[in-house]
Formats: sequence, C-alpha cells, structure tokens
Amino acid sequence: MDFENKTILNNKNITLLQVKNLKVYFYLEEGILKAVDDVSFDIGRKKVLGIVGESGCGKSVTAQSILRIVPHPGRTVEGEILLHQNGNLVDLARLNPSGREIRAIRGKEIAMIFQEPMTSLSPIHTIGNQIMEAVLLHRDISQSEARELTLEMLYKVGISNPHQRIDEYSYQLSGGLRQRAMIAMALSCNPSLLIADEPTTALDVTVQAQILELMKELQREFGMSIIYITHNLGVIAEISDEVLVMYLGKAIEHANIDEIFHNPLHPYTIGLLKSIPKVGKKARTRLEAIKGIVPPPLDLPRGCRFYQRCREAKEGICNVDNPSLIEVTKGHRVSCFLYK
Amino acid sequence: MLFYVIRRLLYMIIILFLLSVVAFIIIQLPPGDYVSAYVAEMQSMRGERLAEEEIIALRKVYGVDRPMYVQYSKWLWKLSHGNFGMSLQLQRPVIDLIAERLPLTVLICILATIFTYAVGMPIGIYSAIRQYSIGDYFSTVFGFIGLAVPNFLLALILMFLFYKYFGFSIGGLFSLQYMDASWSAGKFIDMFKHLPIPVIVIGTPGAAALIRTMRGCLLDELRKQYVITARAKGLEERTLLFKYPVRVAINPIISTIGWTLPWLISGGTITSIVLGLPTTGPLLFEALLKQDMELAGSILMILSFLTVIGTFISDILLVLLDPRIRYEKSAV
Amino acid sequence: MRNQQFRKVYKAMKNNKRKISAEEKLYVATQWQLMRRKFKKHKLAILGGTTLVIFYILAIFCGFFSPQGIYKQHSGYIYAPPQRIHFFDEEGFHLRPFVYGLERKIDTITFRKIYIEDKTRKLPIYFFVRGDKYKLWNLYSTDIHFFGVKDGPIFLFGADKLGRDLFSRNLHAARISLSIGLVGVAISFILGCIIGGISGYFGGMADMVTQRVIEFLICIPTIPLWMSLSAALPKKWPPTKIYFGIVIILSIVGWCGLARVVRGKLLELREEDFVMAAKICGATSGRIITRHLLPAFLSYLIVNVTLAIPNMILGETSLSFLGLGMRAPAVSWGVLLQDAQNVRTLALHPWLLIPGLCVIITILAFNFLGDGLRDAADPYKL
Repeated sequence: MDFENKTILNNKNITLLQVKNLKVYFYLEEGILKAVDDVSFDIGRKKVLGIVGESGCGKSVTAQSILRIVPHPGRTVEGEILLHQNGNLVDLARLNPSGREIRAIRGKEIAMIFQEPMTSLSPIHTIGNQIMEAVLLHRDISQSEARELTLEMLYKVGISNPHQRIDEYSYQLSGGLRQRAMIAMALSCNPSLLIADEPTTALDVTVQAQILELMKELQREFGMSIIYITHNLGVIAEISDEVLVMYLGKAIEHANIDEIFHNPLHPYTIGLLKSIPKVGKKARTRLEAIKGIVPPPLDLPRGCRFYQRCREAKEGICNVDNPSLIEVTKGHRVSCFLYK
Repeated sequence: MLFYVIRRLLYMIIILFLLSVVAFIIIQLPPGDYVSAYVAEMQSMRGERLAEEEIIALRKVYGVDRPMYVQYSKWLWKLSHGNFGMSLQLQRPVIDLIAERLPLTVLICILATIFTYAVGMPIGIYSAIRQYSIGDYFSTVFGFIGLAVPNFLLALILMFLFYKYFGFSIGGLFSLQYMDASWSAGKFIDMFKHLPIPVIVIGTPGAAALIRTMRGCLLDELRKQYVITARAKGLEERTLLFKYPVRVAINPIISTIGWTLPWLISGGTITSIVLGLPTTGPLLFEALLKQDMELAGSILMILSFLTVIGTFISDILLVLLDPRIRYEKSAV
Repeated sequence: MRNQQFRKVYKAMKNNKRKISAEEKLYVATQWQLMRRKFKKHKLAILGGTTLVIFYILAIFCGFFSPQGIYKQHSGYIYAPPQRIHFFDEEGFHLRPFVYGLERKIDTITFRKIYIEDKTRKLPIYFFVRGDKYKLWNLYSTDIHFFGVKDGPIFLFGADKLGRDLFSRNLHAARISLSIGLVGVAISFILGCIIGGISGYFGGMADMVTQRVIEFLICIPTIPLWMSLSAALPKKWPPTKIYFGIVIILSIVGWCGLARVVRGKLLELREEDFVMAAKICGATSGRIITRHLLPAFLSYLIVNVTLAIPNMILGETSLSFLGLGMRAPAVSWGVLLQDAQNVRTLALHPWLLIPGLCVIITILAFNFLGDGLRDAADPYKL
C-alpha cells in the first residue's frame, strides 16, 4: 500500500493516466460478456501508447471506459482509472457517467476520435457548428472567437480552404477530410490525452499515411499523450512508444516498441508479427497464420484464453490456470506460463 | 430550390388533372345517366310519362348523347371556370355546398394533424430514450390499441361512454341554439367546446402510428456513432439528445406528413359521418346515398387535392430542414 | 477453501459446456429453423396467431358453432341481454354449465322491457345438441350444433331488435369479415407482385410509370374513394356479387403498398451477386424473378401481407357500417354494427358493440402476428 502511494507520487510528473485492474462487463440476455477483464496499464505524458488486438478483443471498450461512454448493457465493474490533473488525482471509474465532473473532462482533458469518419459526424449540422460546440462548451470565449479558433484548427489539420469548409456538411467532405475535421474537433480544447480508436482503418492507404503523419506532427506541436488503438501493427510501429497487446479482454503483453518488435515473448504476439508480410522476405514463402478462430467471448473456458490456438500450450498447466501479467525484464510484462 | 418548387407545382397540376379524370369516372359509374334518372323520377313521383322525342331533346340539352371524351372535356372546361355543376338532390350549385363545408373540414384536419404530432412525437421520444421502462410499455400498449381501434368505432365508443356516464350526446359541432345561427363570438366558443372529441378521434390512430415510428427511428439514431462523438465532447445528455439524434430522427417523420394526410381525411370522413359534423364527410355520404354523383365526385376530387397540397407542403418543409436532401435537390 | 472454489469452477464449466453445444446448434441451424425459433420467442405473436386460428375455425364452421339460426326471430326475447354461464347454484358446483332462463318484466318507472334471470328455471348447456336446421358450407344439411340448451334459445351475446341471437350472427359475420381480408389481400398480392415485380426488375420507364401511378393512387383518401366506388355497385346485386365487388374495390388501393414493397426489395436484390451470376449463366428474366428473387424475399412478403390484411377488414367493416358495403340479409361485423349507430339504443343495449370488439381483437391479433413474423424473417439480426 505504502509502496504504491510512493510510486504514484514519484510518477506524478511523468504519468498522465493509470488504469488498474479494469473490468468492463456486458450483461446480456445470453450471459455476461467480459469485454475487458482485469487490464492495467499506465501512460506517461507526451507518450504514445498503442493498443493492438483482433476485433472484439476489448481494445475499443477499454478506450470507451476511460471516457465512461461504454454503451448500454456494459458496465465498469471494477478497477480504477486515475487521471493526473495538475497535481490532483481523479478516479474516473468512480465518477457518475453522466455527471458534471466527467463531462468537464470529456473533450477538454481527454478527447477521442473514432474509426468511422462517415458516421461520427452529424449529417445535418455543419462541420463548424460541431467543432465550435466543443470549443464553446469548454472555453470561456465568445461565438466569434470560437469561430476564429475553429478556422485556425481546421487550417492546422491541413484543410486547405477552411473558410469554405467550416460551413459545409459532412457528406460534402471526403473520408480523409472528415477525419481531419474530427481531429480538429478533438484537439480544439487542447486535451492532455487523445484517444484514437482506429482512426485510419476506414481510409485509403495513402490517406492513412497522411493522417498518421498529421497526428505525429500535431502531437509534437500540442504535446498531448495519445492512446492509439488499431489492429495494424505497421501503424503501431510508425507512431507508438509503447505497445499493449490484448487478446479476448486480457492484456497479454506490454513493452516498449523495440522490445515488442525485436523480442516478442507471448506466443500470440509472435504469431501476430509473423503474419505481417515483409519486404525482402523470400518469395513464395507462406505467411504464417495463427491457427483456429477466436472462441466466442461468452462463457470462456478456464485457463489461458489463448490456450486452444497456442503452439506452445501445455496441457495441465495452460488449460487449468490463468496466467497473470508479470514483469519479465524491466518494462516488459507478459502473461504466459512460459515465462516464470 | 426554386427550380424544385416549380417542378413540384407542375407535378401538382398533372395530379389535379388525373384527379379530375377519376372524379369524372365516378360521376359516370352508376348505371344510367342523369336524363334516365330524371325520367324515372318523373314517372314514379308524378306519374308523368315523357314522350320519346322529349327524352331525346333532354339528352341533347344535357349532352349525354355525346361520346365520353366530349362529355369529359366539356365537364373539365366548366370545372376550370369554377363551375362544378349542380347538386340534383339539393338543387344548389356544388361549389356553394362544398365551400360551405370545406373550411371546417380543413380546420379539423389541421387540428387533428397538430394533435397527432403533439401527442405522438413526445411520447415516441420518451419511450425511445427510456426503452423498456414502464412508460415505454404503456405507450406501446397505447400504440397498439390506437392502431387496432378504427376511427368510427372509437367515435361510437366515446359517444356511448359519454352518453351513458355523463348523460349527454357528443355528436355535432354546435349546440342546438347555434346550429342555424350565423357566426358570432358565442357560436365560435361553442364550436371550440365541441372540437376536442372529433379531433381526438381523428388524430388518435395517427398518433399511435407515430409513436411507433418515432420510437423506431430514434432508437436507430441513438446507436449511431455521431451520438457517441457528441457525448465524448462532454455535452450534457439532454442537450445532446435534442440537438443530434432527435433532430435527425424527425426528418423522416416530417416527410410522412404527406402520407398521414390521406389517412386523416379518410378517417375524418367516416368520423364526421358518425359524429354528425358539418363537414364534407356527411355531405359526401348523403350524396352517395342519393346517387347525387356530380356532388360526390367533386367532393372526392377536392379532398384528394387537399392531400396533394399537404404532401407538397411537407416535401418543401423536408427540403428546408434536411441539408442532405437540399443538396440532392439542388444538384438535380 | 480452495477445494470448494475448484468445485464451483468445475460445476460452472460443466454448465458452460452444455450451453456451448446449444450455441453450436445455432450455427448449423437452417434459416427456416432459426425463424421458427425466433418466432416462438415472440409471446405476443404466438398469442395473436392462436387467436386468429380459433377465429378462423369458428368462422369456417360457423353454422355448427352457433346455437341458433341467424334469421330465426325469437319474439319474446327482443333486445335480451347476454346470459351468463354459471357453474354454481345454491346447491353448489355443477360440472355441466348452465344458464338461467330469462323472464321479461316491465319496468314500473320507465315502462321499458327488462329481462331478469329466473333462478327457478335452470337450463343446462348440452354439447352436440339438435336444434335449428342449417346447411354446412351449403352442402350438408344437418341440425347438430356444438352446444345449446334443450328447451328454448340461448343468448350468449344477447339478442337484437328482432330477437335474433347475436352470438350466432357474430359467428356468421366473422365468415364474411375474415374471409374478405384474405381474398382481398390475395388479389392485391397478385397485382402487387406482378406490377411491383415488373417495375423493380426492369426499372427505367416501366418503373417510372408505375411509381407515378402508385403515388397518385396513394394520395386519394381511401375511405371516400371506397365509398364512392361501392355506392356505384347496383343495389339489385345479390350478396355474393356485392362481396366480390367490395373485394375488388378494396384491392384497387390495396395493391399499391405491396407493389412498393416488392419493388423496393427487388431493387435491393437486383444488385446482389447471385442474380448477376444467374444472368451470366443465361437465365431468362422470368426464371430469375421466380427462381432466384421470389424465394429470397418470400418471408419479407409474408410479413407485409399479414400487416395488409387488417386494412382490408377495416375497409369492409367501415363500408358495411355506413350501409355502402355488404347489406342485410348478409351479415358481416360492419352490418351488425349498423344497429349500434344510435347512441340511445346503444346506451340501453351495449352488447350491440360486441362486433366492434371482434374487429379490434382481430386487427390486434394480425398486428401482433405480423410483428412476430417481421422479427422472425430477419433471424440473424439481434
């Protein structure tokens, strides 16, 4: 207990957000879906944390639970989400999800951008209206000042003719432009943390690269931390400082970017890395795929969740107990019985 | 936009023309024509027997010996000059009879529309937001009952209940002393006292249907990403709800005003007959019973045209409200 | 302690296994099985469906299920109220239900005829009794009724102004009212499929024209149109002719909605890959429509047909109620409701509204059934 408090104090200046033992469950008619099951991680100031995993592994839900916007049957059952806010510690998990405190943090301290630029903007309001709304909500400025700021933001995210675009509707913009507008909206209040939930997945590859470049640039300029969620390891390599690998609601490996790519420990991470096509690889070699499919997330069997698909699985160990996330080398944590 | 309005107006003229064809067909539908009806009546009422030459002369005078299309174009020509013909039964110009009754018909229709939307939308929004709450179940039950009880039965049941438990008859739009009186403040107030029952009866099925559509539309919208975006911005739940999903969900509802109007007028006709309101409904009914087809056809045409105008207004409203459609229409 | 936990986990696991195997069944189930399963979950739909089955059986065998003939006038029972079925009397419970005989008295204040139960006259209800002669489906002449009392009439729904049994009349009315919905929808369905099919499949000019025609027809308010058309039906026509006249009148508007549904779904399906595949294989248009497109949205059509039937029933009831549809001596719910038009009569004899109740129940049942079918037609949607 004492020890923990000390680390928090020591980390005061470098840590922005700590997630501890987070559990988010969805109470469905068919049973309890453990979307996020005992996940912990930290993120430092001005750092980029990448969260990787297949669809349905709980990475988006983790992000949503930080903002407390998990959709209806889902509930944050346990855990702490500690936000370091100029010397104060706020546990977001304790706040009322529709209360004043969390609303003051949403959009101001922590902003979020989403996967689908097509649907994440309202079809019947202008871009400007939607960005200005965020600005006016969190900053004490006038309508005209907000408009000026919005124009400036649109310019900063690389929209070439902001004076025209500000009064346009989302259907008049291309996918890339929409995502740029979303970024402008998210950064308009200068947040200390930006959560990007697969922001480039739905875009063309070339546009993807542009947006990624833009985000790196803006991070340098605004100095915010980023949680970048994706299933694309290439994107992760491009932008992250640290990586958290998730599988079926569990964090299975957490390390800095070099460690993950050069010294992966968990069989799942190893499998993921092998399944990426690489330049320079011998032609005609097959890409390795991870065998099997993700088991249905309801009523998971006992033991390691990766057991059925794991090459290294040991019967009697892996299918009996659930491995916990332990630190193997400094800053490299993994949850697998191979490393004890 | 202007181009769109003009195009819609042109379209309305075509519809009006088609409506006149339907009206003419209905006028011509009953076996025999006006002259043979007249001859038969002369015979049965007064025992007079008309000579063959007289009948032929009569046929010539009324033009019933000409081919159909000639008769139609003659009729249309008169129509375009505001001459809707004579009501044989009441011996008065059709146009006067309709003009007498039309304002009240339109008034009741507008009030019923307002009632429909004023009741249907808030309840629909409420039950979408509080899905599976007690209020939601109540509104679902109300929705089903409103859907299943036809206008005229609702009118009958209300009349029955009021008569049985309060001892008065709720039919009509005026009390006895104002029935034939000319318009005065007293008559006006008296009318407004009588209006709620017909308006409720006519509006209820529409309101019930609207609750269901509104609930469905809003539930769809609530799941959309832009709602989460707005929430992630830190907007307050209520503000968010009304600014985004409700506004988006209302658009398709407004476009259905045009749809509900024929329903309202349809329901209004039969309700007016049951409740004995001085609107076009009972006039049409009487005309049909007496085979006074000239009057009946004209009423049908006017009623249909009312719905066409209503559709036109709702289309224009929709274009003004929804930038997506505005964009499409201006592009075309 | 630890042991106990293990046991708990083990138990949970066993339960889980069973669940998963049920889930696996879900993956291999055919679409038809999935639909049935989903439909069975919809309680209201089951209720609606059962109600309709009972109503239609009663209507088909209306002669058998009615205790009295529908034209037989019981002069001593004018406006007799519904009789209550009893199982108890002063002696206690009886397995055989019975009604008390009605005694007519004159109210000393209002001088109105009133009926009171005569407790001394107990009339037990027998099943398969002989009564008024009738012809089942106009084929078999018989006098066996499902139930009845041995001496005198029985009025479960009361009697009308001529002393005719309203229960029997309601059953016979159901025959016309319920069948008109089916026949009308059948005609609308055929028209809708042909016209909507052509419009949706060929597109272009054919589509334009049919769309405009439908838009035009929809903007005419239905009841005034139906009234005008049915007023033109010759008064001298026999009931069967009037019946089909009404069906055709109702279908004139009825096909529009179904044609729209067919067209919309066809346009959606036309773009599907399997249609393209069939086209490339050289299948003819007719074959593509009947073999590939129709089955693909048959379930969808059934839903819409179910929801279209109530409108037909309502149309007939409204018209007959106004006296422009079916006319006495034919009986339909609308015809029976004509007697309820006068508030004063209605206030004294509220059982005249029972046909209205039948209409409401029928429409509700169709709507519940339609809702359940709609959910079932889309079994993969959660």
